[in-house]
Amino acid sequence: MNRYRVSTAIIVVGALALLAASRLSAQIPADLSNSKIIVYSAEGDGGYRQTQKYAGVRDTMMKLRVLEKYSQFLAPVRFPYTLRLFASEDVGDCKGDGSSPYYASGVRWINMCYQFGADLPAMADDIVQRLASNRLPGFPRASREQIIMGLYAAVLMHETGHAIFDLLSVPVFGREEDAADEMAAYVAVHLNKDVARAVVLGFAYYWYGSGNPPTRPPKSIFKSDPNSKDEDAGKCFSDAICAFADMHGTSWQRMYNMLCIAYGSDHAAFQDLVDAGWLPKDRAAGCDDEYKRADFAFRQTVLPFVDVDLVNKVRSVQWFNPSDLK
Amino acid sequence: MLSCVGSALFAATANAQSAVIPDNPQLVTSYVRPQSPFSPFVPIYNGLMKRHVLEDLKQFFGPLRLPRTLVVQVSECGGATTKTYKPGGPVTICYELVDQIGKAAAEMAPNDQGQQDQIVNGAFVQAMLVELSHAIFDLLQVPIWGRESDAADRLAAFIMLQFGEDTAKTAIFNSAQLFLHSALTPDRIWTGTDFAKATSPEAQRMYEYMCIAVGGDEPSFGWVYNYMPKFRAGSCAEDYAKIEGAFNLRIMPYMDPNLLVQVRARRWLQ
Repeated sequence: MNRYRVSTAIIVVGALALLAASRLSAQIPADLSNSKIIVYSAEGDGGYRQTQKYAGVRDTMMKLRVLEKYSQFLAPVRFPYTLRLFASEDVGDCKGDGSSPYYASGVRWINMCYQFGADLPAMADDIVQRLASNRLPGFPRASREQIIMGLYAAVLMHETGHAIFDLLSVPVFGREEDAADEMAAYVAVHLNKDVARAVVLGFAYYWYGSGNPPTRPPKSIFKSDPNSKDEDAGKCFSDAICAFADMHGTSWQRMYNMLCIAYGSDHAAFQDLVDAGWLPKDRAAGCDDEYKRADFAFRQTVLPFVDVDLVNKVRSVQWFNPSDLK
Repeated sequence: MLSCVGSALFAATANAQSAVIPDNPQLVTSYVRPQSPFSPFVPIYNGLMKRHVLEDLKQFFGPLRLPRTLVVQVSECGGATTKTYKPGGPVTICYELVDQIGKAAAEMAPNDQGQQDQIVNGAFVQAMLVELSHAIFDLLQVPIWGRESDAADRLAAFIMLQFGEDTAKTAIFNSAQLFLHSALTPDRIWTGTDFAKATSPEAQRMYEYMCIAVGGDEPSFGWVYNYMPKFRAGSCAEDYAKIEGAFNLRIMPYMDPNLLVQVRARRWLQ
């Protein structure tokens, strides 16, 4: 248990360098605030729900003021409805190991599950080992902390994408989960280059390591048992047809989508993804258009709600500790 | 297959009070003759022309006000089954695709010509609506979040549901069947860099159409729940509501409401 708590805390410390104003960071402007984004406190917990199993994570998040700082990071978005931020182990969809942060439209909150990241060290270690042993020849290097931190930031921005679509009534014609990924990618590439790479690589490496649907066709078409209370997930994801039923894209679809938006936004900054063969040239050829499409969508549907002066203030803050980006 | 493609999309049934729906003046249609008189696509070309498929299309899209002319054509595509729409360019349905659909339908229902006809009807409608969706997004400058290919599928599915349960069942059910048939083909298994494609796997598209269908019309498509995992089925109503909301905000303002009623009053796909 102690080892678990310590390792989780390490993850969180690394991940939350994104948001922590360390001694090397610029001062966060005092007027970087938004009354429609609140840290949702209950019973005096300051937004950080009580937990025994993840006490180390909670303590670290509180010390780093993650919720408070994320609310400041989002301050430029003039939400017409209040968005609540909090962290928990067992509220709503934070249930059991592997839970990840989520946005709930019915209650308009982002719940940052403490347990997110429990698996991240092993995944990050695996990627770092593969890179070190040249099993991913030519793939861009990324540190353990970059992978963990970038992924955490990407997930938060993905969930914020859902919040934006909901609270700003953004028309979404595509699959919303892809759209939320796209929002995360779009926001990331508009931060400074180091942050953008961390987020893109963290997200992409995570999905790289997550595997793909089974390839052997089933002998029969998937059938749901109406009498079963099971969500069918276990049975479905081992079925080569049903594995595509999720509202999320497959791991590698999400990976390539992220890489494509990044490359389309800035060839120079992400050329190595193509040169390494990670982003296939066939797909890369269309990435400029994909980025332009996302850019147009953002300008048409989100930008009118954005306080540009506050955006400039957000961009002036050194949210990352530079040593975490090496 | 040829005759049913002709009777496919837009062979509207006359009714006692059928009004004349004017052609959309901004849709310019063309049946492009195959280059060689011996082309295997000549019968498809002749069949489509004979049944006035594109003429009916101009009426079906009569209510849509476009800012400029759009060419819609059926044509040979040099062996490809799709020809990507490019801004300023035509919408093209390839004879190769029609041929492929027909062959697949024959495999799926080898002893049932009626069923084959239904499959071809549905799949042809689906293909046409998807390609037109790309053009609509372009011409109306619709902001697209998410992949455009999926957006086109979702808009096509939404449109299919607006013309009564018979049209919806023919178009969506048969399209879904064709996607499933393709997904089960051994050489169509997706691996590795296949997932880098900007289009979605057939199985994924099948679930997309089924989800929009049951989300928008549960009485007609409730059977879908038997074949869809619960974790997805629970989101379908919301999925439909999202595409409906997006349509109402960004496309409906370009529709002539009076003409739309007339188009919806006709029975299509009979």
